[in-house]
Amino acid sequence: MKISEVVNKTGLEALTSWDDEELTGVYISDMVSDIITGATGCGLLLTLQTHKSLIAAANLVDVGAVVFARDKRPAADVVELAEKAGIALFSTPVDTWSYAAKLFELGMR
Amino acid sequence: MKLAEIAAALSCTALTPADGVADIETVVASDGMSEILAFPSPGAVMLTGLTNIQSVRTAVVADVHAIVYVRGKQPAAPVLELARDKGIPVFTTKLGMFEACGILYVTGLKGAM
Amino acid sequence: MSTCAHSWSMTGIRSGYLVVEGCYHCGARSSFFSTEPVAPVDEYREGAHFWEHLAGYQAVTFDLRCDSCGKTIDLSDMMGLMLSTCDDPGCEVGRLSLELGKKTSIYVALCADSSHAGGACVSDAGVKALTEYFNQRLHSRRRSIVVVPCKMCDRIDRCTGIVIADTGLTDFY
Repeated sequence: MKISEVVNKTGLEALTSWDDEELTGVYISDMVSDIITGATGCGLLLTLQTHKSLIAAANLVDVGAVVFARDKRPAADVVELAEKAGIALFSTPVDTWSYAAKLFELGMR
Repeated sequence: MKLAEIAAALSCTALTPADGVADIETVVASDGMSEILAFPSPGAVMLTGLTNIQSVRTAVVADVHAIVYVRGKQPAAPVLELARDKGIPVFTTKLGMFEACGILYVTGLKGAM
Repeated sequence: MSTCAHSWSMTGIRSGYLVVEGCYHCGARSSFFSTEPVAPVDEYREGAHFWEHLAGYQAVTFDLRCDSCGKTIDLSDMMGLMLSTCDDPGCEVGRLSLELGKKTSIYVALCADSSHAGGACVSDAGVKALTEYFNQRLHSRRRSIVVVPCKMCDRIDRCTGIVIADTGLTDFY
């Protein structure tokens, strides 16, 4: 599924510029140690973590898009780091469970 | 839903005894413990990848009724001992957080918050 | 000499704590990976060093194994990975970053002894396999990743790179 479709159908707010890439799956984690061992490239990463280490981990495994649950917003220097690394960041007002349910409804697996 | 049904749906392994728990209707999913405490969800099942002792302490304070550790995580013995003391059933599943949420969503459980 | 092109997977994933200590005599920093349920915080003396606990983060270490030929690279000498943000022309890593441009991310493989007094660091074979592994996982091909050993840093003790470690999971805010 394209990022644009997910953005439109789940109501995401973009925090960085983004390219309309294909998302291959979903990984949910607030732990960077699990992200580097478990997340696969080009997926959507749903998380509550907004620190720089999250960006360092997302970049390492080539995450396609990061969605921060519960309206979390990273600090300006974190957004700048993501922008530099070419990682698209988005925010959703709902909590992790509710957003996961939306993605599941959309047919993402 | 019965805890045993939830455990079966997620292909869980029980790590502590799972008797005497009331039916569970809600789910809270987070690796960060502040999230669980900030949005209390009494009676919920907690899905988490955090396996340290704080995960059980948080479950006690938030009045969560069961813990499922995702991503195949196995907490250390002292963590299980505390869970046993506090009467909180603990399970582990090889599923990731998204898969676990998806399965429970389809079976009709609701978000806690 | 093996001719296998190597297709790496992670193996032997170990969860634990990245414990960072500092010597208050000489300013050296040392890290070790602990798989104990609770990260140790003891102070102790080791030769000329007086190690004081500085920080403990939940982290993970792993080895790499080739799916084709079965070769395994032991990475127990790696305590963690750090995204370099260095652009200091006085540092070899900074120079490499300037040379490779912004499409390439440099990750520093951190060894246990940041002073490199014994000369050891993460092995060349380990660094090479890590670079191959992470590039094999890149789908978008927009970027590339280079892993370097931390002895390449000019002053790793003062480096402001971003270590991949879990902080804040049990903080309440």
